[in-house]
Amino acid sequence: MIHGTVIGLQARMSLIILPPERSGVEIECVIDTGFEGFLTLPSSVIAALGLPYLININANLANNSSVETDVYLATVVWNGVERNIAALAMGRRPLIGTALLEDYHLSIDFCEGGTVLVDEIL
Amino acid sequence: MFHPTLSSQEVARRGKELYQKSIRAKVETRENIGKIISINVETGDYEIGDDLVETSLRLRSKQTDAALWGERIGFDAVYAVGGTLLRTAQ
Repeated sequence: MIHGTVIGLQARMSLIILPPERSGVEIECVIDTGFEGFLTLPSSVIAALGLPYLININANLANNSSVETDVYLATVVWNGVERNIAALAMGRRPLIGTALLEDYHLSIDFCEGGTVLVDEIL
Repeated sequence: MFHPTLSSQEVARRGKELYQKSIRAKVETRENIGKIISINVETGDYEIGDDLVETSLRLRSKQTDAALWGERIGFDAVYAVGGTLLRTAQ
């Protein structure tokens, strides 16, 4: 089970990222159910963590524009298990998308300080 | 750590052109629609699968410094970040 908190109408959750040859770093992310990928990170955070560059892709944004985006390889700890996922370099706020939540249950109490829970589907 | 010698814009330009001109007709089959393709924009080599990390690392295992471009087969982008993927396949 993974816990988070609602702050200012955003469901926030900490994600542990394992940068190459360094110990884990905890990054606070916003859960974005309109994002179908795994993770976005600001370019400055990707540079600071030294994540390996993977590929370029197009991503479609909420204003229906398509942007060319650099994608990096991020190793994260998700529900106690290490996973290699694609991290899109964009924006100023780290986002967790629904690909990371696939096959999990998400519940959110949308009030200030409310509980965010990600758990296995019963 | 590896850094591509081509700019991101150049990788994207070459990748899109390569996909449209010589790869799309071969891979845009019913069973591939919605899958991910990673393309080495310098050699034209490609890998198809369900996961962007897997397809890209498969290509990178053949050539460590490969400049890669990714597409979701039959759609206009790989991921929607608040937007909507548009189906481009017939």
